[in-house]
Amino acid sequence: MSSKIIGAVDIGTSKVVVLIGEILDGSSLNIIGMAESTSYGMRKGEVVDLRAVSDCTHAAIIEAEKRAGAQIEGIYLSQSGGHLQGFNNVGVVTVSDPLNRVSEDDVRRAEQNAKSKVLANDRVYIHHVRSGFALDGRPIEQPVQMVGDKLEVTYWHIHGDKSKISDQIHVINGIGLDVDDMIVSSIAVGSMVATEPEKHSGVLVVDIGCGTTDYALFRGGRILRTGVIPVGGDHLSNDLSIGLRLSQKNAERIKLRDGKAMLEKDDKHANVMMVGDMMIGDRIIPKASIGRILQARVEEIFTILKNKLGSALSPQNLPAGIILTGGTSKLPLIDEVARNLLGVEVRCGRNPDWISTGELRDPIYSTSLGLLYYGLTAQRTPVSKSHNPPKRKSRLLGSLTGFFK
Amino acid sequence: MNWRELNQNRRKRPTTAVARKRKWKAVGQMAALLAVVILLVTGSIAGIIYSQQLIDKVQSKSTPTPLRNISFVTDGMLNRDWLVTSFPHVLEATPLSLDIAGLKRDLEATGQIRQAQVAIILPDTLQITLQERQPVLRARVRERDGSITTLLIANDGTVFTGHGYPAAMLQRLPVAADLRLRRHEGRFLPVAGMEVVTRLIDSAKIHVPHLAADWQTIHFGRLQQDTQAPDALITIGGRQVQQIVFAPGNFEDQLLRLREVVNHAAQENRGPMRRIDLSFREKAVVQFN
Repeated sequence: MSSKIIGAVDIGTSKVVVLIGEILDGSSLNIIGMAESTSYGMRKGEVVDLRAVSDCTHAAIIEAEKRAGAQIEGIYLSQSGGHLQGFNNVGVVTVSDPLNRVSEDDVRRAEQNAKSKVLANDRVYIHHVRSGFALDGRPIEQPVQMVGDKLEVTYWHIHGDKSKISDQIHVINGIGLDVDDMIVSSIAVGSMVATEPEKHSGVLVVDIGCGTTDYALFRGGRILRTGVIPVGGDHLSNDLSIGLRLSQKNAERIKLRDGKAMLEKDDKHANVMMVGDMMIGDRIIPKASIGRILQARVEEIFTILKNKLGSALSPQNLPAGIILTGGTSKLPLIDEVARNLLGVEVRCGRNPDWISTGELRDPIYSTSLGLLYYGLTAQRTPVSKSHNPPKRKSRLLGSLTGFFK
Repeated sequence: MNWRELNQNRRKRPTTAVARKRKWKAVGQMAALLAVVILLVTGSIAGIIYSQQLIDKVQSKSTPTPLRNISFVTDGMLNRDWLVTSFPHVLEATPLSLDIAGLKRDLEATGQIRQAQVAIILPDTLQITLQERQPVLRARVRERDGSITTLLIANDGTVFTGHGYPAAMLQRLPVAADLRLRRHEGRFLPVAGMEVVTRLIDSAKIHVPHLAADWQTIHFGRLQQDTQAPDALITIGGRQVQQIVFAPGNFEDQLLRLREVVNHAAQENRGPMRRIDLSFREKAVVQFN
């Protein structure tokens, strides 16, 4: 029986989560260790203090290894931050066969064509997500052996800032480990909280974290779009701090204790104590003020999301609606605000039932679980026949398949 | 450019204290593993060398020291002198050179020895324990060169030369007469019909000991062909009664009749008897001088 110990590392703005999984025979996954530490040195999903990020990340990895009683062999790292961008690119080829029957070589040429766009020097590709084929304009699943003149393949390319990605890789390298694969947070989360039928019918997964809001749009079982909005739960606390002249600590406490994403009628004339200990310095804060400030920022997040996705964000395109997840999604009534503003069904995300550990059911672990799930999928998937094999390790080839075919 | 093309420099020094600790822990574990492997390998090599040396030592110690002591135990008449005379090579043999199985085979081939146990007690002792056959008859045999040799016959019919017996004892043994001895590969084959004669002698020693002590010859002439034959007879020659004839089988009854006849003759003062034939059922034919 072969086993591989992999680690899923999610370096967020507020916390670092490390899960350790043991993959047995490439077919089953046991979660054998987990650790969490407060994150320092991250802002809006990006490294601003390499030393501080290394300290807290390494501490979490060591703690997780200690609990697991095993050493990690490779890391699956989540990637977020405002520097991540995506674009669609269509690769078009004329079918080479005289009888117009599409061959595997035609498919490869189309894929190469779609992936051939050269980025600026400071940008690197993270994923090439295949969105689907079209033969003479007709959308198809599998073009090989079909008859047509023009084969098109559409890819959603996700790329990021080279130096910012390097920073995160160096954090992992700093403990003597390699990054086996890097997965965009929204994709990792989406693989956990959205079901396969939802992904087929159309669903938008929105992960509202501390520093960023990541989203991934699924339809037809594939990822159509991903993105990052550099606004998250921290901005809510910051707004409270400025608007109510509170310290960051008190603002965070009030957000978690009394915060709601929209102002309710009952709250219009209600007040809360800032600390609640009635000591000198404690003061009364109107709930209406808290509600208005938080609602404004939450609405802003969803408005940006609406503007970014445009017509894709409609009830017709999202029959399965929107799934909210991430720490900020626990804010009461946030789903109500999203529903009112975006006009689609909204539900809060939760991890699948096969996650037996109660603690891991919390959506804050969705990203890490998604990374482990992704690691298992990569082990199951046979080696890709890509023309441009990665140089480092052959097994990494497998990780590009599965989700991103 | 793909992110995989970014340089992942794992050999770079750890960047944090915990990373350094983890590295040293991994190095320590590796070192411990290496140490265990080295220990196992060196231990195995040392074990092989030591065992080789031990073998050499045992081999060097076991070279040519002759057998100095011979422990000789028997329940019969043979002794150590007979051994060294008959098997002189045992004095020159060493524990490794002596063929123990061969010596046992040779000892048991002498005929006088029923069973022999031969053992070497290191470093230099040869231990021999014998169980001998007891002679019940003697036979005189004419050799091809015309000389007469006396041989002994054990109760199982084995014929042997006999060593160490006092002459007086041998003189008391009845002589086997009309005996046809057969040789095979230079050795005499066991005497046919001896088991019947042995039964007779053993019974006689119980029922008529005074008469049995008088027996001087036992004739095998009408016994050796077939002990079950209707005319098979055993004829005993003695001083008191010149001829006593037994049929093979039911010796107890015949011996009781013999005792009765002898006692009756003594009571009647009939004088010495020449022949008593007990081979007729429930009868005894007696001839007086």
